[in-house]
Amino acid sequence: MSDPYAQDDYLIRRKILTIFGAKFHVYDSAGQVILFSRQKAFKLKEDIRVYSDDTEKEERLLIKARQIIDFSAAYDVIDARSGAKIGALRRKGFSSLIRDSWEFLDVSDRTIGTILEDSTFMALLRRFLTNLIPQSYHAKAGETDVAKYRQNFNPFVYKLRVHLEPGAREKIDPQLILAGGILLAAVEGRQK
Amino acid sequence: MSEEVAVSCPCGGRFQVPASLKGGLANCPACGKATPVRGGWEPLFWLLLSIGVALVLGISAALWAAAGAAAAGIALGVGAVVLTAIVLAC
Repeated sequence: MSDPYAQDDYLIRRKILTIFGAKFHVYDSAGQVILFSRQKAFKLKEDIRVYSDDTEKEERLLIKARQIIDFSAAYDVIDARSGAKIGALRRKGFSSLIRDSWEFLDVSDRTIGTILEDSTFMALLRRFLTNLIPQSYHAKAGETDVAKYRQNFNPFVYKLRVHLEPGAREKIDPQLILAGGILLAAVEGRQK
Repeated sequence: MSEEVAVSCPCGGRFQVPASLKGGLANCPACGKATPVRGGWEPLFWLLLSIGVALVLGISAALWAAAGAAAAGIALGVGAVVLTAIVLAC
């Protein structure tokens, strides 16, 4: 099986008609399902599993929240094959009141990158006027762009495009970048 | 100096991690696997749960006065099941 993390472009699509726990399909640029993600239901601490496909036989990533209720929630990302943690993502609570803001963290909780909603003006429009305006985010490692996340305009089905910039893999693990997309879809997308 | 927390891995390894990792996972230097870091207590969660318990008791008492013991018992039972499920889901 080809490496799902070798792609530069992904589409994360929320499955509709899910009763317990959100489900997401991750597609490559050819429209093939390369990963399948499911939020575990009835868990107060967010627990998201990423599998090779929707048979859920092979687990690839685990994304687990550290706290039940946390204004600045942190989520550890674990490579299910090796059992090792590869990093974490932390939502900046106060900043996200105005403009969604996340941090990429390494295994020792040092900040190695950021994810920021496109602009304060658009963020305020979404919060005060209408949440139909699609969201987009920029991910950076220092001053270097590593990825873009763009929500498609679709009031019925949540879709998020993830694009890795050239050289992104040398800065941040692509599994972490993709986990960021899944968290944006699961956490920020839940606010729709 | 930042606060650190001691972690014991099932493989036998013991190591220190930053306190920010409480409730999360850290890689054991001995075996390389992600190991749970014991979490701090979460005051906000326990406060909300306490409010929930108080509400269940209050509603049961009100139902007892208004509709009798059976209604109060049902409310208490349903409340107890819901609160227990919340605690178990942690």
